[in-house]
Amino acid sequence: MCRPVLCAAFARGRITFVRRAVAEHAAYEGLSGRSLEDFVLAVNEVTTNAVVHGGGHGRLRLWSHAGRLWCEVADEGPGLPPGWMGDMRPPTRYADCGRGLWLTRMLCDHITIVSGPRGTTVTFAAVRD
Amino acid sequence: MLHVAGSVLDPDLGDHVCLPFDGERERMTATRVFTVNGLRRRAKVVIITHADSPERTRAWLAPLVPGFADAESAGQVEIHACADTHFTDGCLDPERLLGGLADAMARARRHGQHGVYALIDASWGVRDAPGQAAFEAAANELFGERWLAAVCQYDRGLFPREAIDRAAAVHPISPEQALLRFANTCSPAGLRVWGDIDLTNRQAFASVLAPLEKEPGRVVIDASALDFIDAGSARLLSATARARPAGATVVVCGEAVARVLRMIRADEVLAVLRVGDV
Repeated sequence: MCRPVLCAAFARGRITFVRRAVAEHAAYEGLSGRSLEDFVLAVNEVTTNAVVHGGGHGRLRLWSHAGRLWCEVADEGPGLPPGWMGDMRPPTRYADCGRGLWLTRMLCDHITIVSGPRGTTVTFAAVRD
Repeated sequence: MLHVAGSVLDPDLGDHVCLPFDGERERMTATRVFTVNGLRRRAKVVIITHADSPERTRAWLAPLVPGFADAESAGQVEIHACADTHFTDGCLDPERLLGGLADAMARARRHGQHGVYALIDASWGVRDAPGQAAFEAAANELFGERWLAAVCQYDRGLFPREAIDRAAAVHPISPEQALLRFANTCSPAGLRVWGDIDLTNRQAFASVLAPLEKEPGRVVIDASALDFIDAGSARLLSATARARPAGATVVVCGEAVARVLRMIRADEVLAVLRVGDV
C-alpha cells in the first residue's frame, strides 16, 4: 500500500526549507542515524540539481510503500544531456563532478531516472538500516 | 498579525543577514524590533537609510522604542543616510562604508558597547543588483571578527525575485534558508564555521573561503560544529585546498561532513581530521 507523506513545490530559495521538512518527515517515518543522513543528502542533491540544471524549480513527493520511504523529484527543465548515463559512476578525477547522480546512487536504493526534453524525474528509496 | 522573521532580528555579533520584506509596515516593524534588540544587547545601533530619510526614520521610530531619545543622545543609536556612508560623489565606495563601520566600532568600544548592530536599507543597489551582490559578498570578510552584526533589508516591491535570490545567496544567513556562522581564527590561520551550508548560501561560503587562498602557511578550517554541507559547497573546500600549497589545508569535522568530503574525494587534496582526533 502506498501512503503519501509529503508533497512540496520548490525553487532556488526553498532548498533548505524542503530539506528540513524531508528530514522531519523521514525521522517520523522511522529513519535514523546514517540512513536518515544519506536520504536527506540525496534529496538535497537531487532538488539542487533541479534548481541549477532543471529549469529552476520542481516538485517533490515522499511516500511510504511496503515499509520503505520513497522520494520523487520532478523538474520541467531541458532534460539530461547526451551521455548522462556515464554520470552514474563516480568521476575518476575530482575536476568534473557532473550533476552528482553517482552521489545519489551511493546514498540510496532503487534510483530510477526518466529524462526527456520536457523534464527529468528522479525516483529513489531510502536504504534500509 | 504581521509576520516578521524573529531570530534574524536578534542576530549574534558576526551575523550578516539578508532580510526580504513586503511593504512599509514590515520595514517599520523590523526596524523597531532590531533597534530594541540591539539596545538590549548593549550594542551600538547604526541605521543606514535610503528609501526614507534619517529625519523621517527618527520621527516614526522614536515613539516606538522606549528610551530612544536618551539612547541617541548617549551615542547608542545613530541614523545615517546611505548617501553619506556608501557613496562618494554618487559612486559606490566600499572603502568608505567599511571604514565607516570600523569607526563606528571604535566609537562603540570607547562607549563600552559590545559591538555594532547595523540595519541597512539595501534599496541603494536596486539599479545594479550584480554589483550589489559582489559588494555584499566582499563585505563578508568583515564579519569574521564577530564585532559586527548587519541586517540588510531588501524590499520585495523594488527587487525582482531573482535579484533577491541572488542577494540571499551571498549572505550567510537569510530567513528559512541555510544559516552559516563563521569566525576567523589565528595560529594557525583559519576559520571556524558552524550552522549549515547549501545552495542558498553557497556563494557566501565561497567568499568566506577566498581570503584563505592568500594565507602562506598551514590553514585549519574547523567545521566540527557544522551540521550540514552539500556536495557542491564541499567542492569549494577542495577548490580552496587546490589553490594552496599541497598538504597545507586541514578540515576538522564530524562524521557526517567527513563522509561528504570523502564522497567527493576532497580527502585527496586536503587533510580531513575527525573531531576526536585533534
